[in-house]
Amino acid sequence: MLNRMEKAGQPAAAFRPAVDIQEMEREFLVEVDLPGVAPEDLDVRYEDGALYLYGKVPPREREGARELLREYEVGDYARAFRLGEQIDANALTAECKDGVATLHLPKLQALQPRKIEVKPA
Amino acid sequence: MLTSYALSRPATARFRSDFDRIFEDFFGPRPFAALAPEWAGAAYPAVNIREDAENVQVEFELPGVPSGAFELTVVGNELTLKGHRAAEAREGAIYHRQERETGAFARTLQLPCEIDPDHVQATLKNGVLKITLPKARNAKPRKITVQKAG
Repeated sequence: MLNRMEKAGQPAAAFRPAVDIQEMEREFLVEVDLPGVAPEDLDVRYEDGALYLYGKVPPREREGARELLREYEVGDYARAFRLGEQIDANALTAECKDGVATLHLPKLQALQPRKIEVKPA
Repeated sequence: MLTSYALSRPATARFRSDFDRIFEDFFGPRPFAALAPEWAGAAYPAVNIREDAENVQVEFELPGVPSGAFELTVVGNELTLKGHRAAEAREGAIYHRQERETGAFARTLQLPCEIDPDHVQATLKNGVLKITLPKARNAKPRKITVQKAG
């Protein structure tokens, strides 16, 4: 199978990485498997209620090597989620380590659970 | 040439992002999507194998698995990778999507030729494990000089 990513250097479609999304009391935690993506090659944006992820992967073909088995293809990763307006975009943090991106998306203050003090009558 | 606990991942398993429907629902279309991932039954982790005249190159995708969480062994021409990928569920968290594989894994690969077990090198970078296995002397191509007939 030809690697379609290599065709004439044109921007090709990217792969869809595996994602875990956990919701906690005050934030969403998003973890994304991005093997081969260096921290500086991860692009995360939150715009108009949508989360965009793009991970660039340098090609790692070797000259003169013969392929014996290919279970995965190498290429960039992309994924986008619509979240709505419940995220505090200014407080979003992302880090990338060992090929895994970890995103913290804090909920807007107004949506966070608040403890109600019950006063004695 | 490949033995493992499950069938090889089909070449189509890694779906390309569908840019016609770029947005996915953050909260997941199916609450139990993890029970039926697209590549259910595929071997984990996925591997690519290449060779040149000198080496066999094996590459595993191991995102989020630190070097202390797996071991590599070579016996004869069999390479075995065994390890564990920890699940990181937070207390009180609700999973909206759970697509990443976790748990114990093991794969044994039959290499295409004898290798030199004393000079195997492995590096782990950005979640990709690259193993270079030099071919044994008697497995390398040798140029045969054709002598003139006497």
